[in-house]
Amino acid sequence: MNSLNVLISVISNELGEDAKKVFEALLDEQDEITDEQLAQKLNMKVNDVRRALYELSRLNLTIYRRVRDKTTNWYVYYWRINTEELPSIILQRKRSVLRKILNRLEYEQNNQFFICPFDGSRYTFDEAYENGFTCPRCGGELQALDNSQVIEILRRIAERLQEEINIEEHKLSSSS
Amino acid sequence: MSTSSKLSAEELKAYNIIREESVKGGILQPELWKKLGINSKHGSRIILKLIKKGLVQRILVEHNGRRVYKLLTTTRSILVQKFNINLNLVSEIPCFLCREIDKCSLGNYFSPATCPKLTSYILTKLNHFSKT
Repeated sequence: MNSLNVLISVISNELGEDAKKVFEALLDEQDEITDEQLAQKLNMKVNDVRRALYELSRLNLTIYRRVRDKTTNWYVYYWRINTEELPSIILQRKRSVLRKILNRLEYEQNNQFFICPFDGSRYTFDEAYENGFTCPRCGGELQALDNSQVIEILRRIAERLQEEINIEEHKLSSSS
Repeated sequence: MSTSSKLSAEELKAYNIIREESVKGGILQPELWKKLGINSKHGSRIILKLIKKGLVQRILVEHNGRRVYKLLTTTRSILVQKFNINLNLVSEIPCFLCREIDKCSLGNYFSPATCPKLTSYILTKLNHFSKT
């Protein structure tokens, strides 16, 4: 599957089927298109199309141009995919995800955890200490938790993401 | 402007096939001729018209040791070429399209330390990790 198809499937999973349909319809356009034309083309309600377009533009995947209609005096929005910026936007997003993974890794490395063997809830040392090392939910005795595997997984994910980002940053800067 | 306006029936048919095939990464010219049941001379004329109208783009690719044109619709064709970012790993991580990502940091209400979606992802990875 190419990167674009992966992006489409992520859009479908995270933003819903409407956003996927709208994104794919924009991919098939040669240029920009209004929300009303899109609704007609996709046989969808204009409101649903607009909602999907705003969701996509929140992530900077789509952009619009606003023009005032001289006859009605209303604004008409012409939408298109942010083709020029898309690779750098997605790369920026990838860097943000890496930062979250590194934050979580830092948290896992700097804390000692306890787990309730009965309901599986997890507490930091401070939380466990405050509750007298008993589970505040079920009263079970908390046990020390070895999070070395979690640390290892997060470290591997962070390393792989960093490697990918380094390569892609290089590619992007050499192509621009 | 709608893409399908002002096209002849044959051009529209060719364009629709290219559009459908673009989802899977494009279609090679000889395959399109077969699908349309026309020869390459006639087909090339149709494609040149579509290219002139900016609806279709062709990329030279190597197929079975021969150089042939692959046809794609435009915005998609631009992105297929330009967009080479590996999303296989990052797309599994829930932060990727999370709407709170800009508000999320250690100590905040939205935090990667306590995020249930991220925890659930790590646990799935942990199960996979302990099985292997």
